[in-house]
Amino acid sequence: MHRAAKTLAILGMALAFAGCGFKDLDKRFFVIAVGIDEGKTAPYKVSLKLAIPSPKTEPGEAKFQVITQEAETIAEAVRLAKSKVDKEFDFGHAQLIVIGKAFSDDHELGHSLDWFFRRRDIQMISYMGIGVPDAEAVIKTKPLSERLPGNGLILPFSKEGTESPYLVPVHLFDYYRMWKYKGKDPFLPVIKSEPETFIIENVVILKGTKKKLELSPDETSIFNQLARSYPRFAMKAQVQNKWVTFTGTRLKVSYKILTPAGGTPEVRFRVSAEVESEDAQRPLFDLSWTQLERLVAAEMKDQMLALLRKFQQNGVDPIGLGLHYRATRHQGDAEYGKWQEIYPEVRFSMHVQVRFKGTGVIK
Amino acid sequence: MDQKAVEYLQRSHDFRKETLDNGRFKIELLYFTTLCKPDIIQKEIAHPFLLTDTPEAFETVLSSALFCKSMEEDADPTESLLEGFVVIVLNGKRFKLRAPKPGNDKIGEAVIETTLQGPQSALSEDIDTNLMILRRRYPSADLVAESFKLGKVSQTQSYLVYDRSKAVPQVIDDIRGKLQRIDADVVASAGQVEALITGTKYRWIPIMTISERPDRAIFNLAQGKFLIVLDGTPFVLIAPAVFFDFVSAMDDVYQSFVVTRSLVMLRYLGIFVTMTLPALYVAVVSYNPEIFRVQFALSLAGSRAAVPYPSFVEVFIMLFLIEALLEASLRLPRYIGSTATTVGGLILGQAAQQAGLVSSVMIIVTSAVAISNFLIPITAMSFALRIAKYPLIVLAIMFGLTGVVCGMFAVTLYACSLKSFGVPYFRMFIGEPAVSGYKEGDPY
Repeated sequence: MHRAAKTLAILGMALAFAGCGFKDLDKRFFVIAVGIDEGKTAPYKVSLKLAIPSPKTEPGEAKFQVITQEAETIAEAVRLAKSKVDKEFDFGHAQLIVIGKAFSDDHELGHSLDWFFRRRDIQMISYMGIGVPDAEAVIKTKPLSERLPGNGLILPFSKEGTESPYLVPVHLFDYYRMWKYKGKDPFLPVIKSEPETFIIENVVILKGTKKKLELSPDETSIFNQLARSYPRFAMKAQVQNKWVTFTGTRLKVSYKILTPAGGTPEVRFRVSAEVESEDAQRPLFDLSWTQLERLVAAEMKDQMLALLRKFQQNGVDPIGLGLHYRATRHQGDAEYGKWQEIYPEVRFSMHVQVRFKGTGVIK
Repeated sequence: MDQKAVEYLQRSHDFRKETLDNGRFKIELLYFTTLCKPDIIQKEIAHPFLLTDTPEAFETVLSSALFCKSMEEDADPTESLLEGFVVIVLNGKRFKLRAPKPGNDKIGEAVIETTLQGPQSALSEDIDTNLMILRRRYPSADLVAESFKLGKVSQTQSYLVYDRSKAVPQVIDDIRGKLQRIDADVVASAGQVEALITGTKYRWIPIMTISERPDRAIFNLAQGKFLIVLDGTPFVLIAPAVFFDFVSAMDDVYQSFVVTRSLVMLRYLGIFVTMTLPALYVAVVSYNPEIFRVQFALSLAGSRAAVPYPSFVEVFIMLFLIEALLEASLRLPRYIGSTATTVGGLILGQAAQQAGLVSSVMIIVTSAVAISNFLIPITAMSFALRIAKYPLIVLAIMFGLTGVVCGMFAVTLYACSLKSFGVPYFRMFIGEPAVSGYKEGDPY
């Protein structure tokens, strides 16, 4: 009995300690997206997209509230914003971090975003992107089909919804890693706000933490293939003066960095892909499939090489060739300096093998 | 003749003292009408008595009868009379004849542990019938039944049954000693015997199986376990029992391999759900909503929006209702029982949620907890695990998910520390005799 009383007393005391952690989820405001812009009077303007939960969810009925606050730092802005709402902010579901275009043009995107890397309740699997025209506009956009606040952005980024070849999602942890690692430059997808939807079709490549290069949608698709072996791509080619569209069903990209003594360093890519024809202005079945395969291979090769050379000329390396180089050499810290010397002179070679799976129709 | 003892018993109206006279000599009969069968008295005493001429000849008749013994001159007949003997007094000499009226020896249908296509009958409430069932299903010379009288007043007849060639002698010595040391006035059921032979007062998880199934009894006998069969109850105690015995149903031997393995997995999942789900609900709703997908977190928040109380209050409300419903439908007469479930089901289903007392997700949690608890085949274990969720909820209230994980760890540690008659509670099946011909006992 004595022991039981003691146990009860200890449990009772523990109850008193636990006070601050206990908060029911209906007393929390879930922050779905955080936007960072340049403020008019202060360096930061933080916009928070707060989900308003409702028992019934219907398409287009997503309810949310946007709170904006300007302050010297992000942390300060969040603290000031707390006085504008009735419930406690919960960043546990902050799925999206949007950086305004103007902010990304003028600022380095490393230490200025420190709050996100340090804050304990922001999950490192949040997605990042650059908002056009600014972060607040993206955050305030309400797509027609949205059933739950923020779903319109979360679904494409997590690839649960649409699987677009023009979207290269970047997680917060991945961004931090690319920033801190030597040998891979970070990139961020661009989210354009439209009245009732979003357009996410290209990426921005950063050098270090500064914006350097913006890719076109087509280049983004090729970048997606090169960096992530993303198999869903579409490709147009002319077959006997008629347009034929091919779509990828399988893709594998691998590469090797060769540094022969005395010779030019070379990055040798090996690409194997499987394609189907999706849209053809002429019958394909009776044509030589080997020819078609060669045609697609040549087209892919040209596009990929062009993009790689573009990266090389701009001195950026979002694919992580430098990281690969460092991982396969044994010179310690000197490796990275060596790679920086090599990279501008490196020669790219590309071997593409394509298998044509079918014409998509029964003869 | 102990006249005093007879007078003491004569205050009961079902006690008879009769004198028979065939014209040549007289005998006196003492018996309880409620304990003795008149047929036997008629056949073994009255009929031969009519035909014999001398007291000496009748004495020979009695000596040759089955179940008839002569008694010591000054012995107290009370005990024998209470056990269903007829005492015959012939010229001052006394004999006792066993003429018991059978108790409830009907074999019932198995209702507590049903199988789909296995044997359908259970044990009976009569101990001799039960022993008959066991002997018939296990016709082996090695089957030993040791008789015990349990309870100072009730003197409940019981047998310790085991297979001499398979049981571990130390275990049998152990249980024999424990049975002899039982010091209660009345012993009425198998579960009570388990409580009486357990050393500690604070008992939670059962370490002996209670079963009404003869097939389970003989499978366990063949595995070298012992049974305690008790008069007046259709349940036998089976030990040593480990955790896995409580999660196995007899259907596991009667169905195909893939089916039974899937069902066993389902039961373990059920055990996990019934223990942790309410605690996880509290932990996730009040501490760590980020482990869900955002979509679910939002709809959960939406369903909780009408509930003004903290999550654990609604958990306790719902769990109280469901436990009350379970207990009520268990204790009520069968006809009222079904009404109680219907009424309770209506309340739990819709009204509680519409009243803003609980969220709709909590109703799903409650029913999942109740239903998955029924997956456990042995009732003693399912009762024990019904209790397990409450300490976990308390831990979840105080420490969130961490508390639940630590609590589960503690429960596992506790179960690991248990031993059932020397057998570790979480013992695996490795090396166990494959008595059912099933693969689980293959030696490795």
